Amino acid sequence: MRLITAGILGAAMLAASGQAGAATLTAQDYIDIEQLNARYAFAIDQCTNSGYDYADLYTDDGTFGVSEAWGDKGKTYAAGREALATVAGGGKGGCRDPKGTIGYGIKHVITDHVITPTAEGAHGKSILLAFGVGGVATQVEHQGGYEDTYVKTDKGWRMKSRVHVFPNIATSVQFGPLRQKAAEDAKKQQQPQQ
Amino acid sequence: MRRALLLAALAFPLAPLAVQPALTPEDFVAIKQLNAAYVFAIDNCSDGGYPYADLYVDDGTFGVSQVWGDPGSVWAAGREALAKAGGGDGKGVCRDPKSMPGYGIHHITADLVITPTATGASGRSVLFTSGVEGVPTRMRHDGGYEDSYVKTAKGWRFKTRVHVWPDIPERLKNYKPAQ
Repeated sequence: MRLITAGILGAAMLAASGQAGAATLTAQDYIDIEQLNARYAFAIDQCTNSGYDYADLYTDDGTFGVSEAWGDKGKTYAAGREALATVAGGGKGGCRDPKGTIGYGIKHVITDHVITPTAEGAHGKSILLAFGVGGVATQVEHQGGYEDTYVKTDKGWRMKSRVHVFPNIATSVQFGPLRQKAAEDAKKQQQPQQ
Repeated sequence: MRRALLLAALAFPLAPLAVQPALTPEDFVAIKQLNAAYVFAIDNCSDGGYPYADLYVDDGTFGVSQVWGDPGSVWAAGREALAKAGGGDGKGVCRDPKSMPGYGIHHITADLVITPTATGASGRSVLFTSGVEGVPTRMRHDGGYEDSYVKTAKGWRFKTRVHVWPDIPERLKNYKPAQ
């Protein structure tokens, strides 16, 4: 765990110093990546263009996943444009009723975005605040953050991968009850049929 | 003739031009990145708090003030003291976070204003904390930071950071900063 934390901080230090081995980023690159991150918050909160506005923030083979530790890739929930559009509440059938989605009523706010140059493009870390958790508009939950890889395509900077890192997800106001229910359902399925 | 005078006047303004310090877009970006890195470093102690300390210059200081524009009192000066402020125990190890006054708190910064100065730059930002009083969904506006930055061979670093915290007496009744 300490190694993971050290790795994260090492990356942050590199970002702060502007030293990152062979790769470098221009000021415009930093701005473009920050803008990509900002657009994400709008795209995930409002299913637009049937979720494809969200999907198109990623590369065609981009992935979205969830992890409980910084530096850990965790589990991939969506890979590729169609799956990503579905994650954003849309897909080929258009936008679904948001009341039926896991994030209904939640607004994403992303802060403290650390960008580090890499050989392939860039790495990013940011903090995620979720407003409106538990159905209470004024309730805000610090939900860890995002850990990303970015690549520069002919369309501009895109996310190659985004991982929602949420160390306390088990006790989360938003996700905790869902996890508990999923665990109970799994337990029931394992029990022998009477 | 009149035209020539006008051109001369435009070319040589009467008022002397003061030398204004300037920052490049790269400087603004690097200072923003320094601020973002601070959040991760203060919330996740590693390597005895030295990664936090190394966001500052070697003689950097962290202090607390109740008023914007007032340097307040210095709580940590120099790398060793800063490492302790970052959660270190002074021996290269991080203290148990549960023993620290900020346990369970996450820092979030916003609205960073960066201004060029003769020696580098100054900055002001807003600080929010989440998880206050042990309630994960409870957030508070905790004033903000007032900084001075200098550009070193390693990049931009904090020369000073002051947490401007108007309600500090109430908040820290029982807290004693690391010595």
